[in-house]
Amino acid sequence: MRRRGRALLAVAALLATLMPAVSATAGAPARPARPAREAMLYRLTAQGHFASGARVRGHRFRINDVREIIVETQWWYLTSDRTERVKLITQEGHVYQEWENTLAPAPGRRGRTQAAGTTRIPVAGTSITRHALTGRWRLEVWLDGDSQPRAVRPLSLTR
Amino acid sequence: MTVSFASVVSVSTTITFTGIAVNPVGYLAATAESGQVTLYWSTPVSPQYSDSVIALRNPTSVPTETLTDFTSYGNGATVGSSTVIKVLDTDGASVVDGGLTNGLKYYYKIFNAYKDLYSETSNLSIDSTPTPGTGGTPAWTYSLAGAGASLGIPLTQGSRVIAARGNRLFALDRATGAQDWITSPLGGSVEGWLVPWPKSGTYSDVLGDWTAYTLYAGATDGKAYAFDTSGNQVWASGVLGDGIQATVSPQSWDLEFLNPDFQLTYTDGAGGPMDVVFVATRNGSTTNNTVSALRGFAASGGTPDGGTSIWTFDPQNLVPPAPMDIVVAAPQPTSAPHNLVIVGSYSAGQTQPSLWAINGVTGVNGPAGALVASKGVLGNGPPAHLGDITSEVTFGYACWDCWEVNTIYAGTASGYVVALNLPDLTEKWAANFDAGSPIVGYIWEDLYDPGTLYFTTQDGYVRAIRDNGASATELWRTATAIPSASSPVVDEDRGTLWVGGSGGRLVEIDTASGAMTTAFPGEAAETLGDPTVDFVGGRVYVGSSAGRLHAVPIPLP
Repeated sequence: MRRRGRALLAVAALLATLMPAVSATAGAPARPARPAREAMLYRLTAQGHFASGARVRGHRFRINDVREIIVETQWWYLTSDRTERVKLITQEGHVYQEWENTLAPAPGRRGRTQAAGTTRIPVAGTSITRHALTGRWRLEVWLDGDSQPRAVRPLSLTR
Repeated sequence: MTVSFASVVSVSTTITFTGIAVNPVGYLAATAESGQVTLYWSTPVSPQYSDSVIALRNPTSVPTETLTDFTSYGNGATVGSSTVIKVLDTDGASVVDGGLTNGLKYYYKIFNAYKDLYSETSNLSIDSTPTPGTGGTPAWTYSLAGAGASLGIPLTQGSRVIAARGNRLFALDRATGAQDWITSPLGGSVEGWLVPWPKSGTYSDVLGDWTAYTLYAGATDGKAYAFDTSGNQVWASGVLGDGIQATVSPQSWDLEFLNPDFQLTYTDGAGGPMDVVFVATRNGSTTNNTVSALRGFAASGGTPDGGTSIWTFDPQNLVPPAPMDIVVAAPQPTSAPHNLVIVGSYSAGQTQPSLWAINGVTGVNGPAGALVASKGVLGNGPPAHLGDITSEVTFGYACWDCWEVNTIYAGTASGYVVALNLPDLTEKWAANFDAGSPIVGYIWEDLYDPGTLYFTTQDGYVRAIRDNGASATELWRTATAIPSASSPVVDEDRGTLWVGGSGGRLVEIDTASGAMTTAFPGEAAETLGDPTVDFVGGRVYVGSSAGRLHAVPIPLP
């Protein structure tokens, strides 16, 4: 293992020596190859959906007013279908509910792929209103079987 | 090459496994009793690489240790600060971890194993606390890892208590909490209750016969499901809406309706008995919700076309259209002579009707003529509008030992109890008894004393009121001081009701006086939901925001 590591270092050093020379010959500045982009959660928003049809973006909602909370995600640089998991965590740290969405990447601008997920979290008439489950909750967004969430956002539920 | 084995004493070789994926177990559940915890799991189906399961137990926190591939771990071995519990696949899919200390929380993390290769288990850990079942502590507590909160009422049938957690249903032994079965994941979560219902054509034989039931549930994927009493899915409907939140309501051909017209309508095609299941939708829209009647169990041949729609009531097709908002309470079928399906809905900000009476017999011909009455505005003073129906619709019976329903009670978001006559939904009375808080869950009518009602409001008050015909009076009110009080469950024989709430609290109230006793079977960071009472076993079963199900001996100390 140690010997193989040394060999790799030697190759890397050789490439580092040759590359500027090659670039100079072509008459263009050196431009190192970009590393492969990792799946990236670009945007995470929460909107309260009211009986009037109005949608209000925010992170604090009154449980007796809002009908549902719509969580939208936007991902970049997915190379294949992935699964996002949206977890709603109570103030006490328990998982209230978990939702799964399939993310299907599509070509986007500047060569990156884009995928979007939408999760509708019912509030009216659910255990949240029936048992007045209020407090400082949080949203967690996970990707596939990751051991850590990709994003955590506060979500306050009040009366 | 030819090898002569006669000269070979021993052969040693190294086998390298490639392309083997040792997947984690499918679920992890635990039942805590006095001095022990029983763990339950399912090994992966595809691929089936599993020859044992290893659980790590830690007395202070969720085990953070991982298992090292190609290392053998024996039962009782120590890994970091955790202890190994090893189960070979020939031992089944459960293990009892005994000799534990009551009141101490134990944490478990589980690994599937194959030839000393181990799965990753990022989301399959669980905690479980053995309790003695005395002093207000649970006799047993069942937990399901990562399943989410479940505050709806668990149900008892035969020797089982059945409930839903997230997208799975399970049945437990009422005495011990031992898991009898658990379903594979459904397409969505079950928000309403799981309903066991006797199969048509078998009612005379059904008493005490658990197998003579079908279990029905609605899920957030917009489908209704039916299961047999072993947890096997019998059918799933098509997608009826964005989601089904309300409890689905089965009706037996030969048990409830007792109506020749109904029985002629709901047959299996050959004139034989067939049950029907009423289902209402929770759509994203405030206007396009519907109520459907689905084929349930048919006595002749099991379930031909089970889950297919018989009719769908879409009030937008009425002339003039009458849009229906989301339905979060069970559609309630009444017995003869009315044979109605009563539906309480939201009201799109008090702009639409929220109480509906649908003809359960003529409804088969489509929505035309199916609507008997709808109600939005009240005529007897405030509240001028019914508003959102936030509670289940409760029937008021004409007498304690008859099936005749003459009143329906509904709770509103503004804290009113509304009483209406059947079948025309004319108003009897509406009153709020100083309750400015929404009525939660359901209004419970006393079995032996029709017209006496018990209910909870979101601010934690429990009230008993009396329906006097043209008005209602308050008998008592009790401030539970619980900000998240549940609906009450009443045992009329004991003269007692129970309410769950935040802080792990369970409250016991005397129905005659309103006097209250409090116990703490749950943890401080746990809200207890709607209880159900085991009349025979002397226990209350109650779910919680932590995804646990507690069996608490009654009366509380």
